[in-house]
Amino acid sequence: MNADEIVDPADARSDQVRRFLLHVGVPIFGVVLVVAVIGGIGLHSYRSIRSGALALTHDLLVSEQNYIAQEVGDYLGPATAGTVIARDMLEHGSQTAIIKIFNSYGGSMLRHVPQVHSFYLADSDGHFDLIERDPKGKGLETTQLTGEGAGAQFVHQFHDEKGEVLRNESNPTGDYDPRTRDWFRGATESGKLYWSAPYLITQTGQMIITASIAYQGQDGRRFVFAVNLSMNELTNFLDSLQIGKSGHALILDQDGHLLAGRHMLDVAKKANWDPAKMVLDPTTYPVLAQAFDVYRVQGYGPHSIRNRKRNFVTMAAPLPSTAKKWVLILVAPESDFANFAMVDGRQNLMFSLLIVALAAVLGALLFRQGRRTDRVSAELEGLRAVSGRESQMLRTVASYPALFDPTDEALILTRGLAEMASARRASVWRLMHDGATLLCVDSYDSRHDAHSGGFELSRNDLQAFFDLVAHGDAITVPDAGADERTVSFHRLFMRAFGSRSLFLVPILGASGPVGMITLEDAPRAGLVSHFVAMIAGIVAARFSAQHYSAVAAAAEELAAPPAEEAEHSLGDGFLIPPGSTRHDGQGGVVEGLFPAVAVMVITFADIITSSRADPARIIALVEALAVQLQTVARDYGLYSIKMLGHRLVCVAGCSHTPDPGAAERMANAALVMREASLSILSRADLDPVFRMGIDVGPVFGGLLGEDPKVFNLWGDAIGMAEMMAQGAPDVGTIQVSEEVYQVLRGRFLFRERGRFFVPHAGMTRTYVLAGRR
Amino acid sequence: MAQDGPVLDIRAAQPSFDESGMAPVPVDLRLMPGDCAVIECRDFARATLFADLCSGMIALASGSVRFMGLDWTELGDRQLYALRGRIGRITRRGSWLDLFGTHQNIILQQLHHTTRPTDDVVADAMRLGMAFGFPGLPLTGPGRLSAADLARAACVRAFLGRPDLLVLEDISDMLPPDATVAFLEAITAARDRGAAVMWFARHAATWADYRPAVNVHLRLLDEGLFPVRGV
Repeated sequence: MNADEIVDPADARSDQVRRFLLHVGVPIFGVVLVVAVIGGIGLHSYRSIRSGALALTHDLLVSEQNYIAQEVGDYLGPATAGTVIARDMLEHGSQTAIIKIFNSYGGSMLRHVPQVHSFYLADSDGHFDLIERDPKGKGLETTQLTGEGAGAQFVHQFHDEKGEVLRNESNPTGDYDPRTRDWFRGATESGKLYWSAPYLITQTGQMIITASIAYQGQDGRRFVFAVNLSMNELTNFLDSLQIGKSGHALILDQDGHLLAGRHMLDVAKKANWDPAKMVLDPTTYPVLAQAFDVYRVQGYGPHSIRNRKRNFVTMAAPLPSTAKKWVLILVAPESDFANFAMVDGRQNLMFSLLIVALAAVLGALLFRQGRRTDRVSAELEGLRAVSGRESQMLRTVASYPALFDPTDEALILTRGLAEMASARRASVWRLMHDGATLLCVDSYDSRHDAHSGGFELSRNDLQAFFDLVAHGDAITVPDAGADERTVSFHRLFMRAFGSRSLFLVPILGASGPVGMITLEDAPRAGLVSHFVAMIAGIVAARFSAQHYSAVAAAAEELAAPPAEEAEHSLGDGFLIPPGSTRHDGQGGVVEGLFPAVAVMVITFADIITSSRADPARIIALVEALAVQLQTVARDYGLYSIKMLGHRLVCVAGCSHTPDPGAAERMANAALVMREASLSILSRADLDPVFRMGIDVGPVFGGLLGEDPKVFNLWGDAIGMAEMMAQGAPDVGTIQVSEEVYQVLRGRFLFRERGRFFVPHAGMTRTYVLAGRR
Repeated sequence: MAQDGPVLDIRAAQPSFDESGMAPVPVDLRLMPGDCAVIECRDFARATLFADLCSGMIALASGSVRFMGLDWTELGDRQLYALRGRIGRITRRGSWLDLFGTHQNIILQQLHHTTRPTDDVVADAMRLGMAFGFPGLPLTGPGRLSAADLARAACVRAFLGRPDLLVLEDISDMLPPDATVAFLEAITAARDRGAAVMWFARHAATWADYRPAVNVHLRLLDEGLFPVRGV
């Protein structure tokens, strides 16, 4: 693989994706599996615990309901049993003592049964008796309806605790007739124990229901005996019940009217003391209202409902011993009962999370281990490859026939070093002159695949570096320019090459170091140090075999070149000497910077100059060409034409102030010169193998040297014109730069060639000069 | 870098006719480092197909095409593309992206396949560009270059970098004669470096100047690849 290639095609097909999936996917899948299993188990156990808890809750609610039913039965018992007993007593008792029996029975009941509010006794003639507790004292109050019509009055008699009469009061009845009352009519019509609808006594805020029963008196009158029961006691009882932590119990009738339960008073006030309006308001009792709805749809029994993201258990049960089919509704949040299941589940979840975390850690460890194994196996693979390459390279080096031949350069050594260590440059140096100089015997540049040598370093300049070599240890310097031992070596040898790190191995002979091997920018140098050491051994053997013969050869190479032959003084190469064509005769050589010189370069291709044709004919042709060009130059007043081998440099406008006509003169001359050259070449039956390039720009000029003084021009415009000539699109074409085009586009015809990136000039357009407008 | 085996080794490769349209005859060819094979072929399309075959772009019914010792059919995509990065190719059909300037078309493959610094690549491209007769590196889009300039650019693109195999289809009808010297120089330099060259020519005149340096001379016909002897 080339050092700068990104992908090595010889690599095995990459299974990176598969491996990554294996390394990441398996642990992740494992963790997900553990999470799923734990989650599943947790959910299952939560569900089973919850259902168990709910079953338990239902049992609990059933027993609670039984208890309440019992309590309500007991509560209403005095009404059901007491009414029947009282009826029998009154029916069979002496007719004259009816009131007395009524009063004594009622008084006794009122004193002993707290939920009893009052008793009524009325007959079909409109008589009415009432016994109740004295609202102001601890005794009793009896009320009798006396008189008829407008004179009818309630006569109240107040008794103390012992039954002594305290006082009498009376007040008009206001047309009160017991026979019109619901409890009277209901009892007489049904003939059985009749339960009236509950009603409110506004003054006391008490909810009352009345149980009444009718009987036939001995004198033929129909009597109705009624007992009023206060529901307040029931409400207090329901309030005091503990159902779970925050459960409620309510008693409702079939139409949803509230009979007893929590906040009874609030509901009554809201309904304006009208029992018909005392229904469950879904805004006040959302859960209870829902529970009642569920009961109405699904009937009696336990139900689960969900309200405001909370689960509730409810129970709807019939209450015994009431004719009106009252419903007992029990509601309690599920959490009150199943909370332990939630807590248990949460605890389980925490434990599960702990296990998941552990599993994740294990997964990560597995992943890391997998990656590490991968890396290590890759490293092993790399080492195996290195050792394989090493042995191959050693074989190559060993099989080099002239390895120990002192006259052979054995270039394989540096190349092998550079290849093995992936070095940019590998060099072999020899210590000469008793250690005073280091001579580069061979240096291999791997990027350009080129060998060089003969570089010499002197101890005077590089004391620290020579000491380093003399020390005899291999060293690695990551930044040779920053290390004081190698800084001067870096400056002299490495900086121009552009290398940074240095790996140095001294070559040890019999009596100490005899040279060194340097590897520059060699990332794998550390891996192949023993290979370098082996090469160092080979080099040491070669050095001792060379007996300085190679050194002598190198010295010869380094010697100064022989003096060249004395030049023939044949003028300074001007076809038109500078300034000789000026019309004013004031020509001559000027010096300095000329801001806008038009330069044209004409190159004749090698084919004509190296033509196999008759030399005399060629010379005659060139002569004719030169004469023709001189003529044109004079005609158009060019400043000079200089010949350089097979190139011609024509210059116009060589003055310190910009000459506006120079470019135009040059372009005109170019067109004429092209035509002349084309015709001369075609007459000689030769291809038009010349190209022309023009540029306008600043140029330096001056007379240089002493004897002879030579006029020379140099600057960007010269280089650019030459580039234009060399890069002209076709033979016989004139390529001009953008500057020339800008100056001349009004007067000449140009064809754009395109945009180019040109060295030193950057982005520019070039044009082909086609002719005059 | 020294390459021991053949650069290109085509062994009884029989192209799949259904997919390529090439005649299903087995082809054998082996190019060692430094070899220059001139393949005379009158039909441009046939030459292009054969060049595709060498580049591993034609499905084979049997046989194998190995480049640098690697069988094209056995490589994964990444390796395949990287290996193709080692081929310098002049294509008859152009293969230019008009979205970019010509300069980008030229240096793209080096930027894609290697870690060479861009400046380095640009300098290299500019050197080649000037050798082939550009004033520098052409920035204009390929669609707006003249045919001759496009042929020059194709040469620059093919010789840029250090390709191990040069597959040069015949563009001699478009390449100006003055660029021929640079072309032959570039071929010689590449061969000296250890590259193998496969040069498709339509006429014998195209490569007459280089005849002494050519060591493999073949003729590509519909019936297969035949060596030309005793020329």
